Amino acid sequence: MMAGVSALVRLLPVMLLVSVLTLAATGIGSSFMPPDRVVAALAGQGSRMDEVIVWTLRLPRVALAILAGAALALAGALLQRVVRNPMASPSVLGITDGAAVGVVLFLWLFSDQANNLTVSIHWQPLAAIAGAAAFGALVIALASLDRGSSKPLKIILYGIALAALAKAAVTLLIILGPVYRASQALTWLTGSVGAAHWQDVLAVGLGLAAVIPVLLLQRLTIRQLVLDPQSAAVSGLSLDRAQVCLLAVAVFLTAMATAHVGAIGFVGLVAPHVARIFHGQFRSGYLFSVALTGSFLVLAADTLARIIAPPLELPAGALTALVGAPLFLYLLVKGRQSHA
Amino acid sequence: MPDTLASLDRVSAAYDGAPALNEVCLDLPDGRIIAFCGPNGSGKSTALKVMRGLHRPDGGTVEIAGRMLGDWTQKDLARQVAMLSQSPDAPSDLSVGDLVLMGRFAHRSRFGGPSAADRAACDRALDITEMADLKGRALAQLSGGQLQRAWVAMTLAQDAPRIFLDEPTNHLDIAHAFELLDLVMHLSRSENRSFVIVLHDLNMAMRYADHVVLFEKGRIAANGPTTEVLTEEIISSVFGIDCRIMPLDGLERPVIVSWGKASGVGVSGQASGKMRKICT
Amino acid sequence: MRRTAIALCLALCAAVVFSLHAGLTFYTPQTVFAALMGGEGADALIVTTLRLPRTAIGVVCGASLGLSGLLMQSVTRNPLAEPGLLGVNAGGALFVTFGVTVFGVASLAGIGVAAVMGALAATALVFSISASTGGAGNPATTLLAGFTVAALLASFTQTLLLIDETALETLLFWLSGSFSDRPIGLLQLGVPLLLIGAVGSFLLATPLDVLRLDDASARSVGVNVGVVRLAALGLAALLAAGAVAMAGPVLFLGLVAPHLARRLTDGALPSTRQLIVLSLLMGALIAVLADILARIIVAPGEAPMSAVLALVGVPMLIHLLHRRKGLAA
Repeated sequence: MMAGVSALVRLLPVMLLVSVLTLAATGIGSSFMPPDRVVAALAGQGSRMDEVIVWTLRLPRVALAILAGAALALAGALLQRVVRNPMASPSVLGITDGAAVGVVLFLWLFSDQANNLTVSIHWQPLAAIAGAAAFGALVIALASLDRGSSKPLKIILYGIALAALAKAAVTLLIILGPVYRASQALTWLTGSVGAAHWQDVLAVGLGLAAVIPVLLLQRLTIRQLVLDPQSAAVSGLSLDRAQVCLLAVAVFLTAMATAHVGAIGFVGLVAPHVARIFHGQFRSGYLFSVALTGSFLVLAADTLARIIAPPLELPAGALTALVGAPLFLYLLVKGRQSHA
Repeated sequence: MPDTLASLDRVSAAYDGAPALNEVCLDLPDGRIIAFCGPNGSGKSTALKVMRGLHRPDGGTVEIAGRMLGDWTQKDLARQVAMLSQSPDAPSDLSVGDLVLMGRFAHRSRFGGPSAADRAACDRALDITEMADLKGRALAQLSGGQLQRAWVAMTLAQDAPRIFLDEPTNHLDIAHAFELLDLVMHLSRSENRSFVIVLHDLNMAMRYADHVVLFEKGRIAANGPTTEVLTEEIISSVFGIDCRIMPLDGLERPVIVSWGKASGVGVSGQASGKMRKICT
Repeated sequence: MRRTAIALCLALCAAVVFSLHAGLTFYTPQTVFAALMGGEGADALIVTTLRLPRTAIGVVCGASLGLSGLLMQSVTRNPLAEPGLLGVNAGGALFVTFGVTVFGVASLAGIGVAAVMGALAATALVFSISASTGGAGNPATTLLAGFTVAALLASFTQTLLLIDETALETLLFWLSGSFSDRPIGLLQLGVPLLLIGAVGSFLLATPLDVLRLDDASARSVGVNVGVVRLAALGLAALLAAGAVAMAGPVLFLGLVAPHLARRLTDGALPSTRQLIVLSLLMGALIAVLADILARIIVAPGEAPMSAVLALVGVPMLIHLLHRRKGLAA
């Protein structure tokens, strides 16, 4: 009971931060709206104009940032456990670049002579998911075919190799494909939640909702993975099955998020680190804290991206790197001092 | 409880093509303290790993507690056989209490927190290993001996009637090594638990083991009750050293005293690994 | 060993000669010879101002990257270390972009200096990160640190390019990683760096041989491990920097060349000195071949050379991983 209470106490500040930021992010835009009007509009008590702005323009974007951030952060935390290395993240495993291959291939295959898409753009997320899943499956297959002893290391190496392959494929496709589509692909590659619709929110939300029961059932397994492979196996863990299962969950989460918001980097790397420091990776509720931190990071990055250089909107992916990477380096150095 | 702990039938195993076990046949009695002894690279650790399903044998069959190894589920096997491997590793910010709780993995329910039985088993394991006071410490803050005892506590918390220990005295000073083996002796006698222990120190094996299996180059050189296996003749032939086994006043078992390389013939090839490396 | 080196030399010469002939239009030896002898006309112009420079730059770049990869692999005892994968290219790219967008650098010398500074900074960053996470000897940690830093620097670069669109046009040719359309003047930067690197690594060859042992053993036979490692890393960074300045980011060459070089030698463990020679030659050969391939496979267009290398290099990397069971963790 005590453990539950202390975990809750640690989660409260992050929740509070996310809520405050949600209000602020909904208020900020080409026409600023003070928090009281935002709350009124959210509750259905605001002016008609306010409600339209909040519900159709800003809220989908905010909600998508929150959900995608949570998904990417969770994927990162799972991967770090599976490969037993705190430096792992979804982009390292080629999943993000795989999604990019899917999108670029989609734009290339379904463009006609006049550079118009021959099918609806709404199929694009599906292409991204297919690409991410294909590359993720390839990493998993290569790793499970490998009978060697140091499997976590192999997963990382195969991931890095396939990520490089995917990047090369994207470069080739962009150059060989229609020029007009190239810029569209590039925008997607940087990662942005700007074009959010409620459909996107629904899709990512459903994906997350499907994963939550799995994570709850597997929470002991996820924790047991911090032990060295032999000790974990001796304690009763089916190591191979656990690794493949959680890897698949991470691929799924990354694919869902990347398909709708593009290649937003560093969230999967940084969020677990932050949660580890402020929450503790062995306290109950760690994954919840990771998800909240991820939401906060992406929402903050997107909000900053909107206000830094108006009317120009920077891609949120650039901002998560600018904010996340120095933070990550700082955490590394700090971690070193506390160990010494 | 079946009266064989494990039975190996013509088991061979290798690491990356280098053979480690060669058609080993072995039956181990249950409810005893069994020591695996032998020179470096003779296959004793490999045999332990094969018996626990951590290393896939290239041939032969392994039975644990009367059932084929492949027929066990991971969790059922973990409830029957616990093991402490040679160099276990966990994140340095993990607390001793959390580590010991991880030993309960095979028993814990998928839902909710640890049950009363889980807590009781952990507390008991911490008590026996005298780690109860250090429960809240992070692993990074422990000394080498304390760390080893924390892992022993985790292994005990698993509540398995059979426990494998792979060179458990490695990081311990001589006092803690005796303490650990006294604990093994106590658990074996009072709770009828079985132990299989890889031991380098023949005197430790002599003092604590009921049964000794002596490995040599991937085969079994001798297998039987301790005093029948650890004889001057067998030791000098397997290790290539001269030794005397002599009783000491007040001790139940004799001690082994050695003064180095055998002067006899036919043993130079079995010198230590280091020697061989220089020769080739 | 001597025979292998001579064979490689001959192969390289053949590749260079072929490179002058091959392209959108294939020339006869007479045309090429006439062009080299100071002939005139469109064909001669193509040979002397397009194909000759890109071949020369390819040779220098390839040799630099091959040697740089070898040094990084020796120093880290990591068979997968490579300047491109370890973020060195990304560092060069960022500094060049920064120089062009913020300080308005336009001269070749300026771009070269920026690339060298960036490559050195990225190397320092990656290796201090991997050391501070306790992973100096852990291949996974070094690679992950490199990957992370590369991603970070690349996103800085992207952001700068998003803000300043004119810079994008100036730099896109450089950022694509290729030997074509490079001003020949860049060789004035690349060749001295290659010479420094080659001479320096020959001086370090003996201690690097010893460094194949673990640190403690190397120290006990009298090698100053810290100094040797730092010097070799510095040389590796300089070599990679020269290549980045000339060709832009090129991945995998530094990984592939030393590995193929090792394959060529019979018997176990060739000496570092032998490996240096073979890696230089092998790097140059692969670079020229990849450049020729890039010209031909999607003709009349031109494929990015870096993509061609990746398409060849990745399957090789995976094969390498699969074959190597006992990869030291």
